[in-house]
Amino acid sequence: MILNEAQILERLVDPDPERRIIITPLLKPEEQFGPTSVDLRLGTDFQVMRRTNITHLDLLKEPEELSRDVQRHMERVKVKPTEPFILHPGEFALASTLEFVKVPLDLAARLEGRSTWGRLGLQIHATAGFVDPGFRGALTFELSNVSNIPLPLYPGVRISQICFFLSSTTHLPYGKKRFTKYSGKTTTASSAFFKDPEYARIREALKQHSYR
Amino acid sequence: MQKTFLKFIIFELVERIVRFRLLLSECDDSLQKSAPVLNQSLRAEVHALEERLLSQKALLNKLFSEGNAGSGKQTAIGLEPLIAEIHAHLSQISRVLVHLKPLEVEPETLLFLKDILAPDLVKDAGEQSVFLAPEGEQNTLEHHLLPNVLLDTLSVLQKNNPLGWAGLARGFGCYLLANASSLEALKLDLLKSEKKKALAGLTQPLIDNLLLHAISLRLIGPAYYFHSLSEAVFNLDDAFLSFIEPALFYGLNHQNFTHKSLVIMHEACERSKNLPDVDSLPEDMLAQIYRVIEKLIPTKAAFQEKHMERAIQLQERLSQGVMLSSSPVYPVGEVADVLESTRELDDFSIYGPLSMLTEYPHTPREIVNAGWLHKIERGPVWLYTILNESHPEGFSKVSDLLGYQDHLLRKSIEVSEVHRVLLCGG
Repeated sequence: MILNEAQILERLVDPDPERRIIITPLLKPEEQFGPTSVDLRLGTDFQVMRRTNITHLDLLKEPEELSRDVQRHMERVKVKPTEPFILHPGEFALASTLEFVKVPLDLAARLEGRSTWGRLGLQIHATAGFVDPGFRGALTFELSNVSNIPLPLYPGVRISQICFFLSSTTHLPYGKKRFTKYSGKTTTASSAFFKDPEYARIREALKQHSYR
Repeated sequence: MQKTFLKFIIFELVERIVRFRLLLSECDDSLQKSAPVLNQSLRAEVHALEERLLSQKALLNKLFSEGNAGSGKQTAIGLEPLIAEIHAHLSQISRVLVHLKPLEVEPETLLFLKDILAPDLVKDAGEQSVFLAPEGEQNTLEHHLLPNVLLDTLSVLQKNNPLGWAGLARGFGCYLLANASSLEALKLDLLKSEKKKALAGLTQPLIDNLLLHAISLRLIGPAYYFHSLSEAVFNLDDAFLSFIEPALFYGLNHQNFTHKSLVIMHEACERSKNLPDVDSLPEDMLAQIYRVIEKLIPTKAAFQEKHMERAIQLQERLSQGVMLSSSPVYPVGEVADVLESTRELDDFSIYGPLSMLTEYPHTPREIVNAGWLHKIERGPVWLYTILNESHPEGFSKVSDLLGYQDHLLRKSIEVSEVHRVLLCGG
């Protein structure tokens, strides 16, 4: 069941901290609330991919080395509150919400774009719009400009919306899940794919069986 | 030496070691590319410092075994040389950190400066600039070396830590000392013979120092006192610490806090110079200083009691790991009551209770003060964690904790600024 505006509000002020949704800051709740969603804003830090100093990501390198490759591959950009981040046509960038969000254990959430921005060609996530129960931190945007004009994106603008779904209480909240990679992040975080255990297994298999 | 003091000083040391490692991680990519041997060598040094500290684990654990009561004199005697040795080495190797890319002052530092030094207040003083300096050398810079520029330095180890920025009004304080006629008159008056007789060691540099403390306390509030304590802790005895328990100052108003802080800082400063007898500052002298500083820095620009009340409330958010950039205008309980009582009405509109959820932004000063209150309460617990885990897991846990707290405080400062921008124009 998707929560409506009154149910979301009820959860935002729930006296039980375990059941309470946290979305902070709420600058103008009257403007941010829709029938089943709350608009979220763009933060100030971005990460863009650099293509000039790396040929590819070799997924089978050691994690420490891969972590450095990812750092080298992603350029951090921080804009001032009154300064736009320009997303050019065809460009991809990581960003995060201005808001800190906490989802209780009996709710899951989805991050979606706003049609106002969709009409301008802005996509706010490539594939990962789902938010696990127990998540806390800033949510990540995977921004793409699919239009043919550059889009100036100012911090604080409402580019997305979050909606909540009732679930049975999970015993595996995001923060306690094994191999969690982005729990509690309050800034834009780049991919930590190399922490997925499969790569270690493939590396080991290669060593043992000389597949390479 | 009080046990509370000993825990504080050891945690300060642990925190600096942890911060050193966090900074190395921050520049790991560029350093590994440009100077891999230096990278490995610095990491090995930090690891050795951690092990060196933990070599006295038995003595460190003794700190917790008997609670806070009683003197920690014996424990202190055993630990003092170790603390001095580790801090000295850490300070030396921090000279290398200053030159590493991409370590530079964070944009949030400038937002904090903008908050404490309002444009009206500093309009004649020039532009503020902050540079990173090696640990222990942050106060050695000539603050107005260049015309129209106020220079301030920050220990490189405090680059990411907003709590470490609470000393950044020093450059402006030095400017006031050199240019404010009311301070010039006050200094002359304080040095007059009758008052000078009452205080044997009251020299021009001591008065300057006292006035700098008073200016910073007026601008930044208790966070300045705690920050000064954390900087002085490796050189001084526990004079400062008689005033570290948060419970002691919750009951004080701002003037009393400033008053008491100045007395303690003055005593600590005198003791550090090995003066045989420490004279207390006369009440009328403190009142005189407070009056002049109050006129020089008007209430609008000062850290006020209402700010402190908000900081006390914000502390809990940090304990819960929640961002503290803003707070709702109405308590959530009140909004819940309104929602419940109106929900079943025919003309119910969600906009009534929704508008009550609107939040107002906190100032960077409130956020930093809340951070200090949290640290003072939680520091001993974090220290206990390190001591009760095997190495390096204990340090690693505290490193995660401090890293997260730094991020949360910096993001809170940054988001509060975006919030203020978006409030412009209604």
